[in-house]
Amino acid sequence: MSYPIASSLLDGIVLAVVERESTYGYRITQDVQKVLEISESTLYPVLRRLQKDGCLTTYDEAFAGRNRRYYKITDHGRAQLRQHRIDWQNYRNGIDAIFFGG
Amino acid sequence: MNRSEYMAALRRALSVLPEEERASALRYYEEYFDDAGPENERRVIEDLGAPETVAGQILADYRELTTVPRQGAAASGAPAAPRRGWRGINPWLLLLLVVLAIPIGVPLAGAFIGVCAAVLGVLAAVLLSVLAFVVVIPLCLLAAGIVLCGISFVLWGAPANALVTLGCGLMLFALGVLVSLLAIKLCTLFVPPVFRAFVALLRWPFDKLRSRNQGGGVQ
Repeated sequence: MSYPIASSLLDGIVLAVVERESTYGYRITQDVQKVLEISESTLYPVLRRLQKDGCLTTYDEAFAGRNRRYYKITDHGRAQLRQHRIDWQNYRNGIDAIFFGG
Repeated sequence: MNRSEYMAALRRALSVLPEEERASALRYYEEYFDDAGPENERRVIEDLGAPETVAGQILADYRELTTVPRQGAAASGAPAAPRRGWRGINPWLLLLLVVLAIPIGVPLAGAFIGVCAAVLGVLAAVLLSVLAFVVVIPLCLLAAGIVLCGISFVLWGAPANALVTLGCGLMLFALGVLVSLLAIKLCTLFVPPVFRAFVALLRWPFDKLRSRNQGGGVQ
């Protein structure tokens, strides 16, 4: 069974993935697809939005004779991610209490 | 569909986006194909789904961030309904209002016209009677004086009677001349202003309407 993923949760997941190391679109998609059933087209709008909100920046690095665009988390993005972690903790505790008894 | 066809279709579907946004999205998917490698090209195309769907996601997200021209809706399949602003009144609605107003409006208009006609009639009667008095009284006095003078010539058999009648006739004639002069003086003094006031009264509703229209035009 899979649950529909709220866009704010997806934001948090992408921020957490990029926080571990600066990375590129294909890798981020692969990493998220390991745990969530998302289409390959899901993440571009998320990355673009996080970039516009100032949570992520991009830089280009040469790779195999071409430029690859990397995403890097900003201080603002880290602050957002902290809030996502707190929100998720609260959410999970609430669901756990119902599922498994508090 | 191969990679280049897929990217061409995506470019077309994103044509409503600003150049910078479209270039960013296209670059992302070009790199995506590069990073997936040629051996995964078919799988990536299958997993991404129709280029129009991918573009629809990008457009929907972009529209959330900014105000995008409404023609973006055409790309995602929803026809943009033409917005009818309330600038000016719908002519059909106006017609309906006019039709509905007839039962109330016609008697009201009739009453209004009747009142106006009555007021004008009274004014005209007053003016005419004043004119009549001004004209008729001096004329009567003059006529009476002339008649009495004429009668006095017949009465010379009794000279005293004739003299009294002649005197009265001359007096009435003189009074008639005086009243006539007075009436002429009064007319020259009062007729033009009264006439002007009458014209002004008739023009008043039209001036009112015109000034209101001009006031509305200034806004």
